[in-house]
Amino acid sequence: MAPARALTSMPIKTGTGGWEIINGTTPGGIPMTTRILPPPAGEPSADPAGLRLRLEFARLQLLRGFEELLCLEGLRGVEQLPHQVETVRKVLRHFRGRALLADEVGLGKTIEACLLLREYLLRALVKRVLILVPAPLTGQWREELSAKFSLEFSVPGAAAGAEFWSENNLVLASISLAKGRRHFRSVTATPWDLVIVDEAHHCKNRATLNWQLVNALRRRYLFLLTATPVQNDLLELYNLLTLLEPGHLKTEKDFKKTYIRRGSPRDPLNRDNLRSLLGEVMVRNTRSLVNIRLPRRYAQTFVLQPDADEALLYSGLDSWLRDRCSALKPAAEKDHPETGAGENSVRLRRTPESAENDDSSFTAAPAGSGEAVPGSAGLARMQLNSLLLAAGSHPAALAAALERIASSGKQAPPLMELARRAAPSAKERKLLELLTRNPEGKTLVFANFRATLARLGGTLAAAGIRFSVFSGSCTTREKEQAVEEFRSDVPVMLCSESGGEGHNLQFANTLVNFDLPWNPMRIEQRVGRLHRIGQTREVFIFNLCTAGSMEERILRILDDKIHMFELVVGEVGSILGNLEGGEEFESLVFNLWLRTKDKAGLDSEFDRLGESLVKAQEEYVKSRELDEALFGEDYE
Amino acid sequence: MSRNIQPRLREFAKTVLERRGALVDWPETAPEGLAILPPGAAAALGGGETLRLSYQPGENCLAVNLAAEFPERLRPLLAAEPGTGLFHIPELYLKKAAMEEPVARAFTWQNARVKVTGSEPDRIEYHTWHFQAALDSYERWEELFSITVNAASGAEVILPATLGPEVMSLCGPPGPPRPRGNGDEDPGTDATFQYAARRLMINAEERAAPFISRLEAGLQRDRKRIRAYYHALLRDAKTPREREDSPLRGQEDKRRAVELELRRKTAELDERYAVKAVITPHLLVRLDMPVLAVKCEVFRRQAGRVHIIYWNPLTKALEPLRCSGCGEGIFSVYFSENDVRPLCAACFSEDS
Repeated sequence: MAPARALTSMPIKTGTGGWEIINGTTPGGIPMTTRILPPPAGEPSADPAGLRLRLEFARLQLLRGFEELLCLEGLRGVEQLPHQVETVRKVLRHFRGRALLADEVGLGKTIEACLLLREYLLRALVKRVLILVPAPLTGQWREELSAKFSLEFSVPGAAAGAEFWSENNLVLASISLAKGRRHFRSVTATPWDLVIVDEAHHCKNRATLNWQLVNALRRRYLFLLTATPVQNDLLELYNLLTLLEPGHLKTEKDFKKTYIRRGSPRDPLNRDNLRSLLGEVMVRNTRSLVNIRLPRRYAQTFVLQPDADEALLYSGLDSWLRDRCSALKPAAEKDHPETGAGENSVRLRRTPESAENDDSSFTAAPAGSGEAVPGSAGLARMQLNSLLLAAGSHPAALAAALERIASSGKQAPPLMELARRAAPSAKERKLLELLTRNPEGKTLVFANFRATLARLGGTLAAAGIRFSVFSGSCTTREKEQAVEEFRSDVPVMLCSESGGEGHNLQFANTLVNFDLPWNPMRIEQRVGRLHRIGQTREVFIFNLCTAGSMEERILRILDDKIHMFELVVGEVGSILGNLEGGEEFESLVFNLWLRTKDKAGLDSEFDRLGESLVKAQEEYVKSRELDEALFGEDYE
Repeated sequence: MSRNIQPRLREFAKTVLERRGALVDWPETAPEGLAILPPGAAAALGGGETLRLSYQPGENCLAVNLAAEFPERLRPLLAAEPGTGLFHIPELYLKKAAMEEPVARAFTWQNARVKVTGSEPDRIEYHTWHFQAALDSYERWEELFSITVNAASGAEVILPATLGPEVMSLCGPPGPPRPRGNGDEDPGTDATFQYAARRLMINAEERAAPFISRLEAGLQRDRKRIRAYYHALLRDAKTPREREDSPLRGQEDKRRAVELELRRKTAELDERYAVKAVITPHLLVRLDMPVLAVKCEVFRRQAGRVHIIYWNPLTKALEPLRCSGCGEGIFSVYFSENDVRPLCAACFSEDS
């Protein structure tokens, strides 16, 4: 506040329908504006109760002090782990809104950042927020923000205009899009209250556009998220911290002289001093520190040979779709070279809810997704994608998707009848076998499509296996009931993609992926329903896929190449973040299908994608080792 | 949200809804309750006529916790509650003894002769303003304040909580219009608001001092760090080779670029630390009550003037005079030369 004497002599104008703003500085020179709101108006009352109520309201609101974190209330499906809450408190109290969140993979950096974001939003300390993430993680972020934190972020397409950045207060963008020539100037010209950069190690090099973009952003608070702040040498850490607090580690020359030992990047000079400086801006929780040890998990994939009819259906569908999509180029080839396939990434995004509520998700596509494929009887990219996904799930899901096309007036595909009449698939038989082999255990069965869930329900009922159903179309009460039945009574719960988020399902330890999302992050989410804190037994994962399907190919590269099911939760995200190019994984896979003409072509494209994944994983492992060597397990 | 605040929140939500005509069933021990709302309240809350009340969020439910939207959702209902209250205390015991001695004990007259000429019952208003002061910077400080002003003298006084049971138990229906005739105009709410707002700023400044100091220390440290960093960059830019061989213009460009960046970062820093203070007057409680008005004749050299000192029957004490310079309540009183206005020591030295 301005000095007292000056204020007492200053006239306060009221009653002119407005408030007064007094500009000044604190005694130490911090710019300060003071706004006095008008006094309450209206006839005086002789009833003290109403006045007391108003006063109590003000008092209650005041309890929103930093001692009491607001962000923890009203979350959906977020487990609040003690180290995450502690990190939020630490950043709020001591870091002045600028922090490098460098928890080890799987400890919930994203959750920490979202909790901080929510805390700042609830306290009205921030209004305009920009989150920059690698393109493959855009969908995951958007869903988590929405589903768990009730925050709806706008995601720009490549075609977004300059006004997009100033008109939207909550923006989630891929960093590759934001740094593109088309957007760089607009993004950096707009002031942001809070900027969050995920996988911030992509800003490790000052010469890159990534670093320059983040440095040029006008922002009040900044959170950088990375599990591997150092990938090759300590200078990368220096560059990251310079984004947060320029000069915190002095100049590059000073830093090299003080901390870098030539030829030995893993062994810095003055380690304690460096740690102490890092402690002022960086939080790193490690598994040993937070004492998180999960039991082992085992995965087994069953590649099942389809029956003659099923095989005929799939091959028929493949040729039918290929006939109709030859004119459609893969998204990446048409996009702005600097922005990758950002726009199409959004186009092809399928939320679990959209998939389960609408078997084809045709209506869930954002504007522009209805791009028709010439010569394809009006089929759009989204429709093609949905048909492929439905085929990977179950003929029943495929039939429902085809029926939808037919009902929309487009040419009814000839395969509809075949799909409708399909006998129990090889996957269904395998599922029954797995369930009967483990009658006492609790098994969670995931299927993405409503039609598949319905079909499985019929199959289980016919086999006398009791089950409950948890899907996006259930009400909250029905969902709670389904979980309760599963816990206390039935051995199986059929679950949609969003399966059981927010509910403790650790009493089960067997999971069946009846179908498979094309996005590895979603597969990890499914696994994470059981393999999480609170799980005391080993977890068994069974993946079912049909031989020759897209799902088989995806599983091959994820399981065989990067051993996805053996990774720690969160590592998949780090690996995908290292993938070159700006596409979401599912979009990338769909583009592979579009780009190729036959099975051999598809196989070779998948091999190439597998190699990229291996390279991305190697990069991640290398940097993880370096970080472990640098910070040790006891960094605090 | 800690559990112990839940009963308080439940009671608050229940009262707010019931005052708007809702039927609320939420037993103390139950995790959830149910409210049947009249159409007006239902519309204000943006839902149907049946509303589930719970500590946890859910469908068609008012989540009674401080996070989420609870305060925001109830705000429209609270807007219907009065912001100003007027209460009357019909009678209070007023001191009957002579006031010379109590006045002499309470006040020190620094530069004038003061004679108590009499005392008589009067009725005046006290205005208690309830404010919230909030300072927003990279973190937030906020506190509630209440300031009571004697509307007749304009001085700040300390009264028992005006909405508290002690005072409210004394209140009755409004009596006949209070007599005037003591020569003083009622300053009204506008004047007491201005005075209370100023007092609040002074009080808030004192109370927020540690917060402000922390901000200032942080800003100083960050400014110093940034300056040191960019100046060092500037020095580093002039490598020996450049100093000898590079054309002067290259060095000049680098210097300019670094200075520009320094300016940008400094401005960003100022923006980050900038403080926005918001003072929100939540409510005004007007208390009309009997007091004893003690007339004092003040003689300052050739000039003279009558001032009223109030004896407050709630506090059973004399109230201070108000410094006509800064508004401070004073018991050690100076008087101005010609118009014999009461002044504090500081204002008197400025005045003379």
